Amino acid sequence: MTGATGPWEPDDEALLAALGDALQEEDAVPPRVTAMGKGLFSLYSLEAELAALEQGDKLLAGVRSTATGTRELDFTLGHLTLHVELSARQLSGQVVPPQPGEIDVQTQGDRPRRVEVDEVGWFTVTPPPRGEFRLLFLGADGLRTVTDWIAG
Amino acid sequence: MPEDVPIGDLFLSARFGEQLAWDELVERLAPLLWSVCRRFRLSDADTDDVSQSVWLKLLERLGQINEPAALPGWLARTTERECLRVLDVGKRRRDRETAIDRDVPAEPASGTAEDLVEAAERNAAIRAGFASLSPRCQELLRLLLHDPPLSYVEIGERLDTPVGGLGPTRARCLDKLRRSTPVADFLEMDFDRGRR
Repeated sequence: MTGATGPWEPDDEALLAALGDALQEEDAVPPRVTAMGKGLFSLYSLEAELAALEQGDKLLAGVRSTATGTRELDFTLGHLTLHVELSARQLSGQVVPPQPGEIDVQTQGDRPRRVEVDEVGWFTVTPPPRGEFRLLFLGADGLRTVTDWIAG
Repeated sequence: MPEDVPIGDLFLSARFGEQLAWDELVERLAPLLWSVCRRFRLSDADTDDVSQSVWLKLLERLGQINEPAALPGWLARTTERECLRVLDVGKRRRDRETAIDRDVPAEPASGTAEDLVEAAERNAAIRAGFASLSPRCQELLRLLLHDPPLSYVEIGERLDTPVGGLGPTRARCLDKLRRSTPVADFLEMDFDRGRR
């Protein structure tokens, strides 16, 4: 163990013993503990579906191209709009009506990312996602919105 | 879902409703949940109660604005709180305080929640590193850890390898484990922590 004794620098014996502990620890978990956790995820999906039903149909994406090569996309759900501008340098956007929260970006083949949405609803993702991506907005009041997949 | 995906990435993907990411997140966090529960010597029914509450709270957390990085610490604290809650409920229900005092150590037997979190992070890193090794290395290391222990002759027979080659292969496989990204990252993080 570490702590007062300083960092852990295992030799072969110590590393093999630690591997034994690690594999044993995993085997020791009663399967019902993990099974219960996995089973509960249906509650999360259900919740998201209900929110979508209450607030309208699937998100509608409008795409406009501008002379500068920046693409503008609007996603609406009920009276919430995610206005997104995608350029070669960055993805930026605004939540309307303005409100703080966070935006998560999921891409095909790249690691997911998370950015803050400021008090006036602005957010920036630099560099912009490569390839197909989708956005999830989490509002401070618990509102959760996922966009469709967007071609990068 | 590969075992070396960072836990924060799994959390973000689960937010998008991906069951596979959630399943892997649960698999990764379950040993920590279990190690905390075990210290309180809960009954099976109480363990079910605690794990259900903790997983539900994790689910709730998916819908909240937060940094996914601090998950293991959060999970250990939450589990500890839930364990204390079910013990307290049981205590009031049975109204037999002395039995509880006798059954449950006032001071957790095996270190603080912080120690458990660090041990869990180390073990998770080692398991992820192990999963990234070649099947042959994994097999050899498992045989070396066999209980009861096997002799080199027996291991050589099982792997169909000359006994003389086992020592160098063992060293090579352990070196690969040490240099695997998850383990190397953990050791580096641990080194920084040790210097503070």
